[in-house]
Order: sequence, then structure tokens, then C-alpha cells
Amino acid sequence: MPDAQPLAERRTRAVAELDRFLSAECGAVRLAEVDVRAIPIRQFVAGWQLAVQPVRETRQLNLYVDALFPFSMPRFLLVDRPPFLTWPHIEKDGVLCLSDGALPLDSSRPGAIARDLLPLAYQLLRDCELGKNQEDFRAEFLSYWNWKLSPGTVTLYSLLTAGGPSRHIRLWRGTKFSVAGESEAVVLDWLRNLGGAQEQQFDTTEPSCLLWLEKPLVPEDYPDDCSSIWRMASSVVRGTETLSDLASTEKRSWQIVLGAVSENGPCLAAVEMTRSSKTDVLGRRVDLINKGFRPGHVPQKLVGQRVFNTAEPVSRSKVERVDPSWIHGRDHDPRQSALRNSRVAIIGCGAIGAPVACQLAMAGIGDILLVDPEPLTWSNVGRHPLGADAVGMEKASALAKKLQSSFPHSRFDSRAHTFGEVLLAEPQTLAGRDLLLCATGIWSVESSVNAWQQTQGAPRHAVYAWTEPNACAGHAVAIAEGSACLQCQFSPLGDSKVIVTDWPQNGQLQEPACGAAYQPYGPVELSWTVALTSALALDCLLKKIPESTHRIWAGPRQLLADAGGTWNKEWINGKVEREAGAFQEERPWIKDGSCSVCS
Amino acid sequence: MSKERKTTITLFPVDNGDMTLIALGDAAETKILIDCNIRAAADDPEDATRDVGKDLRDRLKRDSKGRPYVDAFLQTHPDQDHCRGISKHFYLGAPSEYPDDEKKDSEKRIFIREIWSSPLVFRRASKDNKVSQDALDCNAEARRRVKVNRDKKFTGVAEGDRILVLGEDENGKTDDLGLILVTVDQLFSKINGSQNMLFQACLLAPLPKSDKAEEEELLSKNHSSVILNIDLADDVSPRNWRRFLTGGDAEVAIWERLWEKHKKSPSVLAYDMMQTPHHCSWHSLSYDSWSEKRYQGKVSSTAKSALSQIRHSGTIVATSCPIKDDDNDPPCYGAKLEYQKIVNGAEGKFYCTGDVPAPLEFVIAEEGWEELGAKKITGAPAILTSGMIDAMGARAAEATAVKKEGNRRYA
Repeated sequence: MPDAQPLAERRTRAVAELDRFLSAECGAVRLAEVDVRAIPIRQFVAGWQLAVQPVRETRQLNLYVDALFPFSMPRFLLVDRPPFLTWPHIEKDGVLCLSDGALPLDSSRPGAIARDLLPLAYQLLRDCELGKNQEDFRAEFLSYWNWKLSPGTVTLYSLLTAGGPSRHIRLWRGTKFSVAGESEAVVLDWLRNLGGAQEQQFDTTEPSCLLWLEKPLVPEDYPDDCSSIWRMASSVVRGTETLSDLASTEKRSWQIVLGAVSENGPCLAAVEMTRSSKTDVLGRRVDLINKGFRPGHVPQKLVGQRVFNTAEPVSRSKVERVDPSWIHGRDHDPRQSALRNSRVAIIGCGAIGAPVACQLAMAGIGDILLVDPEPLTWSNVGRHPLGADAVGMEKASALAKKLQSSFPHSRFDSRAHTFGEVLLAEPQTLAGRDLLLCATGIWSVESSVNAWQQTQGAPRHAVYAWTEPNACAGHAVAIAEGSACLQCQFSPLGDSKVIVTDWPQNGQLQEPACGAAYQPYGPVELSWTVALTSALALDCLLKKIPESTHRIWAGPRQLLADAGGTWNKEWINGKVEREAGAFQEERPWIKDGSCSVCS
Repeated sequence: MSKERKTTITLFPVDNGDMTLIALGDAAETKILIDCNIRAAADDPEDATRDVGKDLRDRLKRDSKGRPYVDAFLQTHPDQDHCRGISKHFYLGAPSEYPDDEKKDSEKRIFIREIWSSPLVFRRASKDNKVSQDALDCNAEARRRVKVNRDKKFTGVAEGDRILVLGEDENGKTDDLGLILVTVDQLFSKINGSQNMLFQACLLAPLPKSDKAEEEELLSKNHSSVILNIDLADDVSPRNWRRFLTGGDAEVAIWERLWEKHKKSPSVLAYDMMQTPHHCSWHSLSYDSWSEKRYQGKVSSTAKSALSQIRHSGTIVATSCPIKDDDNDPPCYGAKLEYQKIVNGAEGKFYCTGDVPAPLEFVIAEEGWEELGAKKITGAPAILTSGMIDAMGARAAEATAVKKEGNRRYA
């Protein structure tokens, strides 16, 4: 049975060393165990009391360690502190946040760990006391807002483009979460993609608005009542007009989104506002909107003011961004705009095509069509993203469904047919793509894709991917419009002119069935070829491939030797440095002046 | 006595320099300013330097003519960091010619009702060094006031002409000054011509002029300054008196001589609060150079004895820039450590005006002085200051045990 005792002994020694350091150098006093255990949730096992004087006031600052010490960071807890959220970087229980995450520690020197952390804690307290870090409330708005959520609220998922100006948006409200988007279609599509197209409740949205503020709020400005929202709206362009438009609906409450740009990027928050209701002595509702006007003749802005500029309490809730820009690169991937607008068709959803489809979906490709006529079999499961629950289902449609619910903001379609069938039935579907990616390794398909692309002049790029036996080498060829075609470096019967490995009996194995040749490699060896292909596909979509090109992955020599293969002599061709393998090479895909397809 | 009128000592953050205001808790709210160091940067609203001129004005009363005033201004010695800004911010001249009555309050120069000045200190300071214009102006004003006093035969001298001369000058030049002369070891409790029940000061220095040229040379080179040990109270109850020892820039030889003189009655040097001499300079404790010898430098046990007569829970305040573990002097890190040992032995507290952006203010506590707004921690361990934390880091020869820039590997 595993024994945790050595770690406990290590902790005991580390705590003793830390105790010596803190008492000798810092005049600290060890806290009684009962006081240490009194801190809820944290599960500290030892603590010390220190007195610090960051600026003027002497403050009690406790230091605690948990059971994993010296492998875990000691935590400082400020006992003498102002009310929660007066100072940034101090949690509700007083624990200081000294870094974004756990800092790497030298666990062999527990005393030195405390010595090195003390200046961080001290500087934080000094900055707090001198008011130097108040802007951190804005820079790290989401943390602080989320610490002040109203009880019982649900998270709002935002598909909104995280930027101004203030505008109308649409909102779907559920019991477990809400969704906001720029239009009803965007919101409902996302919901249906996430939960299934047949969900009845995903049929309507309600009006809402985004108020885009000049800067993120600090805790003292977090809204408590409707009038504070109205004041915020009054401070931004078209704020009150946008908000007032909501007032004309008959709704009793509205959830709206607040947004602003912090120094760390845009941030969003949600508030729910409630219509004020007043009754007279007879219990009849008082018409607060039309007072002084004939019904329907109240100016819109006044309606908004009368509805929203009230003392009705608001509830604050959390917003999580689920828009593509955030999901793919957290707003910092400059390729996203191009990838988001790209349309790709993948021919062949086997051991290469399926994982490549997954990688391209994760990379943020906005629209992927999957084409494969084959169902998933048990023998595919070991190296295919679809598992046992999809056996018997067409690979293309099962994979599209899986990706669609994983990436509900993107679009995935499927055709459980051969390339030829799709081409004959709906050639425009294929022609409208930015990239055709053929991952069949079947020459009849590859050559027909090539011929079709060459005659159509579309799509602009095609990528072909295959491996050599046992996945000891992989190839990805990008054919660019107006450049060499696939056939240029292939024999008429589909033999590549570049071969990296040689194999006895051509390297093929045969299932005890007719036409069931296979390769026994697993997903790990194959992953290099998958990555090679995905990267080349992205380069094509990002317009980095003006000429046809060939990328080759040569696997490590040991993999080749273990599988019983040897390097092809022409591939080595006196270049001894190639014999170790495990490298990628790119070479131009040269046009053949006598090519039967493109010349 | 009103609770709002507590006897207070305010030490202004003026980097390496002194500017200390004693506000008595009497009905007149008597104010004594010890030295002045209002730099041009502090007057510049665009500059981040603390506007200590405004800090001071905010604490002063206005007289019947609307003039801001101090009841007494003590110049410990004429170094620029002890009198900078005096000509600009204070009125030096005959009271009848005060020119700022028509100006707005913030532009009115501060009226000094009585000056406390030492001609012997000025003479020693100007012997080898060129003194600043502020010091010359201040000295000229002192001489003017002495002349007025002499002319009026020391009676009926009005506010603005009053002066106390601290320490006898050479060659009997001050022998005729009578009531306005305070001699070394003399106690005095008159401020601006009136006895004050909450104030009593003992003049410890300048040590009188020596007949021996070598000794006199030594005193001059040791920043001869006025040294006062002041008893202050909130009320006249005997147990509520607290001592404040202030000694300008006096250096090691002067403190050695004070200890030799008073070691049999060390209570003369006892204090509840001491302003470190010469902005926490090593030279108040040692003849060695801090930058050359650092921790190998020898502390004069005699001088240190003079500076160690702290009472229980006493306070030592360095009026200086922040004190770092480096070669600078003043402020000197080694001196700070020595003063910290002194306060630790008395379970007291060490402060540095450079550590805080605002003036440090102290009021009389049950024991010693208590910082205004400071909080006591029950069963408090030693107070960990930024200097101690810096020192720990500086002493650590080994590599850091925490990678503060965070992780560079991700998964």
C-alpha cells in the first residue's frame, strides 16, 4: 500500500526549519494548532504570527503552511485588514494573492522560501496601504466582480464580440445558465449545437443590451440598485437610449451585460434589473410609467428613466465568454479572424483525417465539412477520436456531431459518402471551400480530387496526407492554385517519388478477410503526421503557401528498427545525418513539365 | 483639558533633514518648530515630493492679524538641511514691517514669535564651511533680535523680537544677555516670554568653547549642535511627563563628552523618544567610515551609552531617507541596526520618516509615545520592518528559493 509517511516526515522537518527562521529572523510567534485549524477550507497545518509595519500601522500578518509543505507555497493571511475588497489581492478570509499561480519553490530550503516571499507580501501591503494598487481592481476586474456575485444567480455565457459600443443584444435565459449573443440566430444556433437540434426550449430569445463602459468598475462602484445602472448608462454614448428601449417591453425583469476594456483585455459582467411595482391602498398597481402623459405618449427616454432609475435592487452575476475569439486563443491569436472565416472539407475521416479535423476545430476553423462513407469499426477505435460508443456509426456524421457539441460556435457538416458521390451530387459544396484536405491515402480518391481541383481552379489549396508503413514516416503535400499538381511527383499508379522507408513485403498486413490490409501502428506514432498535416492546412488557410510544397516527417530510427524497416537508400543518399531520423523536412513540390494532369 | 488638544510631536518627511513640530496641549496650543527643511521640490505642485510646507501650515494657528505663527523656532545648527526654506516661508525682520497681511493665507510667511538660536554653534559651523543664505538670514535675524533686546534692556520686548540664546558664546560676548541666555545644563520652561506648565527643556549642548584649540577643533568638526532634552506633558500630573531628546547633527565626540559628563546621573540623558542624530549617521556612533569598514567599524561604547538611555517602550526616529543596507551614510544601515538594538532592549520601536509618505505624529501614551493611528497587537512579536526584510535578503548569499517571475513551463 502506498505510504505517505516520508512526505509527512519531510513536512515535519521543513516546518521545524521554517519555525527556526521565523522566530530568529522575524520575531514570529508560532500559533497554537487550534488557531491554525480554525481557518476554514484552507487545511493549514502550521502557522506563525508576525507583526509588520508596511507604512504606518502595525499589522498582524500570519503565515501558514499546508500538509504539502515544503512542496506547496506558504500563504500569508492579513489579520488586521480593512473590509473585504477595500484592498486588491486580498481574499475574503485575508489570504494574500502574491502571484497568478503557485511559484516554483526550492523545497530543500523552507526558511529561504519564507524569506523570499516576505518582500512580496510586504510590498503588496505597502502598495495597498498607500493606495498604489487600486487600479488592479480594474485590471483584474473579473476576479473581484466574481467575489461579489449575488446569491442564487446563474452564469451568463457570452457569445458577444467583446467590445463597444453599447448596443442591443439578445438573451436566452435558462435555469442553469443564460446565453447572450449579437442576434437570436447566433444564440439559438449555439444552444442547439450544444444541446441537440431538437431541444424545444431553444426557440426564442428576449431583448437585452450591452452597456459598454469607459473602464471596468471598482468594487465601490459595483451596482446595488437600478439607479446605479441608469447612472452608468448616462455616462456612456447611447447608454440611456439603449437601456430605455428595453423598458417598452412588458417584462418584469431584464438581464443586461456590462463591459469595458481593462489593461488585460475586455471583461464582461451581468446584472439583473427588476421593474418597480407600486400598489395603491386598494392593492391596485400604480402606473408609474404613464403618469402625467396620455398612455403611449411618454417620451422613450423618460420611460427608461421611470423604469430603471429606481431603488429596485439588482443582482450581479458572472459572465463567461464563449465567443470564438476567447475560446480560440483568448483574444491573443491574430490568426483567428482568418481561421474563423475559413471553410474546409476533409475527405477521409480515418486515423489521419479524424484527428486532423479535431485539431483544426480546436484551432478555430469556422466551418468544416467531413466526407467519409465508412462506418467506425472496433478495429478503428484504438487510433480514432471516436470511441466504442460510435462503432457502427458513419465516421463522418458521428465525428461532426461530436465536434459540433464541443465547439457550438463553429459549424460542422458531414456527408457519409465517397468524394465522388459528393462531387457528383453537390459540386458547389466542395468548390466553395477554401481548402480540400484529402486524408485517404487512396490513389483513386487523391487523383480524382487532384484532377477536379486542377480543372475547377478551386479550391485555392488542396492538402494530401499519408503515412508510410508503421507510421515511421509521414507526408503532407499542399497543392497551391497555379503551381505543381499532386500528379507531378507521383507515378501514374500513385507511387510517391519520395519514399523514406523500405519494408519487407511492402510493410502491409492483412486481416483474415478480403481486402482488409492494415497497418498496426498506434496513435502516438501517428501524431507526428497528424500535426504535420494540420500545420500545413493552417498555413494554406493563412495564405503562407503560394507554391506547392511537401513536408516530410521522418520518424526516429529506433521506431523504424523496432518495426523491422530500413531507411530508403535514395532518402539517405549519402546524408548520414538523416539516419538518426526524428526530424521534419520541407521541400518544393516540383512541377513536372510532362504531367498528364496540369501540363 | 480638551481631548482634542494633546501634546503632539510631528516629524515631517524631508529626506535627510530635520523639521519637527512640537504642539503642546495647553490652551494656547503652543507650537515649537525645531529646524526647517522645505525643499523647492516640496513647493512645486507638479513634483511628487511631499508638500511639507503645507503640512506645517495646516498645523499652525493664525494670530489676531491672520498671520500663521510658531511660538518658538529652534535652529539646532545652520546646515542647509536644517534651515532650508526659512527665508521663503518664514518672516525674518521687524514685526512692525510684516508685509504679508494683505496676501492670501497660503502666501503669508510664518511669523516667528521667538527664536531659539546659538551663536556658538553658528560660529563653529561657519569657521570652516560656507553656510547657506538661509542660515545667514536666520543668523542675521537672531542678531537683530538680540540688538532689540539689548536696546530695550530685555524688558517689554514684543513677539517677533523675542529670542533665547542657547549656550554662551566665546569671549564673554553673551555675558550681558541675562534672561534671554540659557546656559548648558540649565532647565528652562519659558516659551515666547511665558512659563509653560507642559514644557521644560534641559540644554545639553553646545558644549562651551574649549580653551584647547584641538578640543575646540574637534567639537567644530563633530557638527556642534543645540541638544535639548525636553520634558513634555499633556497635563501637569508628574507621571505624565515624557522626554524628547533632539540633537541636530551632533556626532560621536560630542556624545562621548556628554556621557563622560553625565554618566553618574544618566537620567539627564534619558528619553522616551530620540531623534537619531545626523539623520541616522554612523558618525554619531563611530569614528570609522561606514563605507570603508562596514560591519568591521568600531562603535564608540561611550557615545552609544549616551544615546542608549532609552526608557521602557521608548521610540527612536530616524529623520532621513529610507535606510537601505548599502554604503550610504547618512542614513547608515549599521547605525540603524545599533538603534534597533537599543529599542529592542527597551521593547520599544524604531521609525524612519523616509519609510512613510506622510508626517509621523506621536502623542503621549501610557508608556512613552504612541504613533497617532497606530494599532497595538496583543502579544505582539517583534515588528518586522522593510529594512529587516531587505537585510534578510541582502544577507542571504545563496540563490533565491522562490522563482518570483513564475513558471516558464506549461502543460
